[in-house]
Amino acid sequence: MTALLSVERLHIGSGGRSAPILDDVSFAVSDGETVGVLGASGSGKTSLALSLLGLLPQSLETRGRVVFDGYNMLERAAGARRNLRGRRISMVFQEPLTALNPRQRVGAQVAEVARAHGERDAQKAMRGAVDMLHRAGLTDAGTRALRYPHELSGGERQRVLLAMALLLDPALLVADEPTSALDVTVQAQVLQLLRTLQRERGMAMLLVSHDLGVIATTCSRTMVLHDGRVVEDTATPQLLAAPEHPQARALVDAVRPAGRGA
Amino acid sequence: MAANTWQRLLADRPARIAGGVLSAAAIAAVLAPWISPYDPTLQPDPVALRLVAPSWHHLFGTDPFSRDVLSRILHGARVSLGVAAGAMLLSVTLGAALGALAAVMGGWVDSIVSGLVDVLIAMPRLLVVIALVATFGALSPWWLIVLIGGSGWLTTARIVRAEFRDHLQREYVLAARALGASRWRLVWRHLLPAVAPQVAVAAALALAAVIPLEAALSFVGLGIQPPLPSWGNILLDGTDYLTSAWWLVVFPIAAVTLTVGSALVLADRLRTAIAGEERAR
Repeated sequence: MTALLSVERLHIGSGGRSAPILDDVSFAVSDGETVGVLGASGSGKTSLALSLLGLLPQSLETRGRVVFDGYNMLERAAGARRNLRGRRISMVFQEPLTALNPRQRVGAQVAEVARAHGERDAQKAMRGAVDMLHRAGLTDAGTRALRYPHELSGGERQRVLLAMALLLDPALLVADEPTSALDVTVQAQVLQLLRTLQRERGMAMLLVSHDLGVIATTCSRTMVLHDGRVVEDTATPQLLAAPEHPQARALVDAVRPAGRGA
Repeated sequence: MAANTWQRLLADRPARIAGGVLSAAAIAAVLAPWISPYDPTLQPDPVALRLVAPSWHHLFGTDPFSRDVLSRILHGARVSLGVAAGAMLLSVTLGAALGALAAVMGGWVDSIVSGLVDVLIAMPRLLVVIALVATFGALSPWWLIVLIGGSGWLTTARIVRAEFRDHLQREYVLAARALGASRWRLVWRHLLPAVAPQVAVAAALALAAVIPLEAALSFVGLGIQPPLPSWGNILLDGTDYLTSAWWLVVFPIAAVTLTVGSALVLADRLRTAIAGEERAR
């Protein structure tokens, strides 16, 4: 089976003054696969996520390749790369309040994704948006679509972001700490929703988190990122049972009940 | 409860009054040919009707040529406010376009626009306009719009460039790009609506600057030429009679003060509304 996404020896420099943000990172994601990227803050998780969509700031120097849909996302012409975003590869962000435009109604923001990809009929785009908000679990989606982001709760806002990301049925969803800004019960609901939507669509997902609990309940495979390097890449049960790298062990031990050490 | 800047402005009493005054002035200017009691250039009797004090026949009195001052003020509003509005629209549009272009394109485009602004902003506008008029002779209202508008875009360009650069750093713009929005779509759907209130402040301030500028030019005889009335040249006609015929001076000055003051109040209340909206979220 050919990989949907393959990252080959990706290196992201931070301008020479300090250690690279990512160093020699290689991995692949197949169709429909769910891969977790586990790492502490500062391990390069967000830069990795942004690089997959070709969204890194231009000031950063990159080497290696990020091949998605057969194209190198680091090199592809801006217009062609843009056309893949939202349609074939999507991203949800950690903090839904800042990731939404504060002065646009949420329904319009979902519809905007379709409009950006050539939908000319505004009413059709809005109907699709409301339908998607409904499937993303926003209760009373028809009237809620007319609200502004600050009028919704954190969980509802994250559902809006998900609706935007999944509207055009992408093959890969990059989720950067999608539940970290939410409280625990809402977190569980959003994760459940993510799993359901992913299963329905056979979509691949790269779930980036610092929280092993989130990754363990969602991902079949987990990579551990430490100081810009992948120090472990294995099936999630394997990682939980016998973490090899000291950093991976530290992260696993942190959530394991005391006294049950390996 | 979701009060955006515009809704806040509409709910604000001083802003409504200022907006009302400006709208009334604009409507009076448009309707001048139909609501003026007399022809503004007609000199019915330069001897008997010369410098008549305000009365029921001539509410604002008559000037040294026996022309009705109210009719001249109303027709003058057409010219003065027309030139001001045209110059304001030109300068704000030009400024917003160039500021947006500089922020979005960056690189050498930004360098050229920012450099141009830095150089031109140091130029004394009134003196430059006077020099041009002195060189090319009296200007038609259209050239006056081009000249005043073409020299007034600098501050708007600065504001729009700074606001655009600020918003381009925000996560919602990155999120929009992550879902396929193109650069120009970002500008149109996200950035321009975000800076529109600031541009409106710049527009109100431009209006407040341009009305006296046109009046000053016409007053020194370099702007609108008689017999076409403008608030500046009506005042010019009255200066020789300052002590004997107050109505020739008071009414045109009142017209300028009222419109400029309203524009300034509007700019100020708009700023307050913007700050209120920022605080609310």
